[in-house]
Amino acid sequence: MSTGFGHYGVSIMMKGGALAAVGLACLLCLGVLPRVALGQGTTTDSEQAQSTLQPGASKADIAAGRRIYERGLLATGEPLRGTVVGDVMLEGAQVQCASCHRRSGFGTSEGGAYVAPIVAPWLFGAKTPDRADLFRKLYQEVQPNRMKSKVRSLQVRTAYTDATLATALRTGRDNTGRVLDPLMPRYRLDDTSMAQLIAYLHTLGQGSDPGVDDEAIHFATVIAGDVDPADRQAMMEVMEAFFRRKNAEIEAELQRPGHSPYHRDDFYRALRRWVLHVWELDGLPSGWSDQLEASYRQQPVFALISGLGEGTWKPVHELCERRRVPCLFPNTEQPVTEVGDYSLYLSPGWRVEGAALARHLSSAPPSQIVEVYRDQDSARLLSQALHDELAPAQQARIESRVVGVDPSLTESFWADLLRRGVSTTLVLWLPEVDLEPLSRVKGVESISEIYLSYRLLGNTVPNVPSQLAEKVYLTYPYALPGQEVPRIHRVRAWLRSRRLPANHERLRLNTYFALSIADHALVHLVESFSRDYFIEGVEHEAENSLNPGVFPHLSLGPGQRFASKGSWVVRVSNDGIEPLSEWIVP
Amino acid sequence: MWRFIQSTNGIATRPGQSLGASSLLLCALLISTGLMPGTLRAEDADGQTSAGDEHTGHHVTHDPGSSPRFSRVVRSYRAPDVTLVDAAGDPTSLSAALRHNGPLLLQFIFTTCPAVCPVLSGTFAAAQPELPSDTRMVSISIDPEHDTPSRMREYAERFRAGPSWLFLTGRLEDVVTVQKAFDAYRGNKMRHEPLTFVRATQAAPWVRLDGFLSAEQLVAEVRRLTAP
Ligand code: HEC
Repeated sequence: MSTGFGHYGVSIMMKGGALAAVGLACLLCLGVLPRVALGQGTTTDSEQAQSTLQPGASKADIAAGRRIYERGLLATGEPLRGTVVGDVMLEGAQVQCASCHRRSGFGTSEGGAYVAPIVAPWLFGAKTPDRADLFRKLYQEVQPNRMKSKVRSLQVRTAYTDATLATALRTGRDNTGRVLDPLMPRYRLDDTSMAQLIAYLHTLGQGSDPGVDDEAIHFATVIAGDVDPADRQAMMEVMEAFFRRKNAEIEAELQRPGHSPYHRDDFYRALRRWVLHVWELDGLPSGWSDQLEASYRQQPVFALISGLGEGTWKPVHELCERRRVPCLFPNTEQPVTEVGDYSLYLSPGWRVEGAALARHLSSAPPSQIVEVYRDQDSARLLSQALHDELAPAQQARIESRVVGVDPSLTESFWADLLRRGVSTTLVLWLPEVDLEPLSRVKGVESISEIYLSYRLLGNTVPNVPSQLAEKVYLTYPYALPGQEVPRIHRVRAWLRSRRLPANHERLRLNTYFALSIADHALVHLVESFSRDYFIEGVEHEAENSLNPGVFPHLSLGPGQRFASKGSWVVRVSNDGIEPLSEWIVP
Repeated sequence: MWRFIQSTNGIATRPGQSLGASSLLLCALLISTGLMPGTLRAEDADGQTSAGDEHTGHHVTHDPGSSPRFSRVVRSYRAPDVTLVDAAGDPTSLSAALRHNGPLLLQFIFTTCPAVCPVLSGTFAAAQPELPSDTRMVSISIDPEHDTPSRMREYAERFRAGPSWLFLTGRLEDVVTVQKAFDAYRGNKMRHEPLTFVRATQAAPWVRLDGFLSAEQLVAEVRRLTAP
């Protein structure tokens, strides 16, 4: 059977898409899919936006409606209340619309539930099963069959009016009288709240988000501060290779003769060239916010992908939240810990190692802990997390010494520290050079164990002087050697075939991950360029098979912002490292 | 090549996994035996037939009104020997959590789950006061790295869980093992299905309820299983 579908292979090839392709192809050839009545392309969308905007709705109404939608909170301060599955009354966050229809309004296709999209063009336009949406839903996952049939049997209905919509929300009957799935709550809403909610629904999912035009989708990557030029190069090589590859595919697609006109209509329109903007921040971090804002104003981007930072990442995080730009997986050890809506990180960075060590030490508390760290961001964050996470009884038993950044520590420093002579656990947030004088000090036998950070050592296993053999442990937030995921081989092959060197591998793999997950999530959008929907796709995809293996396990979910969540504590032995602890998730 | 059959209840299905003639007949039979609407009693004594499949075809549509539909099969599952962590942060073996000689209800959830879990747990919450007083309920997180004991406590409070409702989390591998043992593992938590497992006594097999249930339906299931 030939439907001319395979040539959308750019994206389909990448994951379980064959099934979706076949399914959709069949639908197409059976002609079961009527035409779409959805606002298409940017211009139509904005025209439609105007035509569906509710007359008389004020900004305040829309904001109040949004609170109902996203937080389940009425303007009166009361929680939103609704009944699901016939007799289960839920309230507040449990029945906020965003929980099921998601912030984007595009719904979900979770295993057990098909939640319809309720973006304005859908609600206030006639609903016919939309090819693009079907593709999206089918493609997203290999769904249980129950779900597939639900998606396919989408009912047809006419456009809602505000009155029929209110009836649907209260009684669960749509404007054709069809009873909505019992999973869709029946809401108790007063008229004012209903009007506010509907005013917000009129604005939901109208048009494309900034950073997309008819030809291109714009992305940026941020390089913040005094980064190692070799790291910068490694990251940029992967970014550029990926963009080149992506654009070559899109180009081939656009050039391709023999699109069926039908096809040209739908998917062809979704194709956009990828444009990369590199935003380099210089000077003091206090000036970065303005630099970012200026770059954004000059060229709004749809999302930030990857990136590299030495030191703080806060100004970038704040831009992402302020401008509602998805920021995917920068290479930084200093992500902002407060959960944001738009900033997704690979791992909690320094903090996770300090906190994991605290958990480890709490499981078999040593009698005395001496911590030494240098006065710099990385070590301070490690130390702070360690202290925050230690049980109160332990906090009293830890003694901390802060030393200057520069001269390396001398024998006399260590001799002084070890004078007490009792069995001591050392936590040293220090580089490797400081270990050597320690090993020469009298009293070295009194050390029972030494904990160091693998990352702070520059991602290397230290050479342990023989006096300290068997006593050195590391916090280690990555997949263990030999713990490789299957995908690492594919990504390595990809990098090799682009003639990229094998050095800085973790950085390259992480960068590749950010790019490939962005690519996957974008495919699901088809032509609905909604940043929220994009983030929702990323949350969904993170747990799939894209993990290139730097971290043992990646997963996100609604409101989860760190894809890897833990760290090991490992023992340094002659043959390298072996786990001492379980994978600790503090 | 797929063809789509529009079955009478409006659910398009795929041949091979569809409501074949025999299962339709079976459905009709079962319904006519006077079972409560919306439930399908498809007890196969060997418990083998559909391990691993999606149980499509077991669905019976009734009045598509306010109560949901679900399927019901009897299965024997062997709970693995793993140690989980309860909401207080204490290690608890799964077998201890399931060692209970009254009705036992089990669901898999996670605290950031968008559509499915609030409804699953909401059904437990609403059924709570109506269930026999010796009923134990167990909710196990399938996202244990995120669902720390304190997040589980918060979640429990959201649903006003009483003392006989346990919330368990643990190590990722262990939780995967548990899900696999109950044929509930779907690889990605976002693909998680609405399942409720019910057992009348420790010796009884599990009843697997697939789909959403109203509180009334759930209570009726438990009552029926525990009826003398
Ligand atoms: C617990 C999950 C859940 C929540 C919460 C939820 N919905 Fe729904 N909603 C659904 C499902 C599932 C459907 C699909 C029903 C069907 O098609 O039978 C749906 C359908 C709808 C429809 C009908 C769409 C159509 O095309 O006819 C509208 C309108 C709607 N929801 C609006 C809302 C609004 C507004 C809120 C918040 C006040 C909300 N929903 C909250 C699950 C939910």
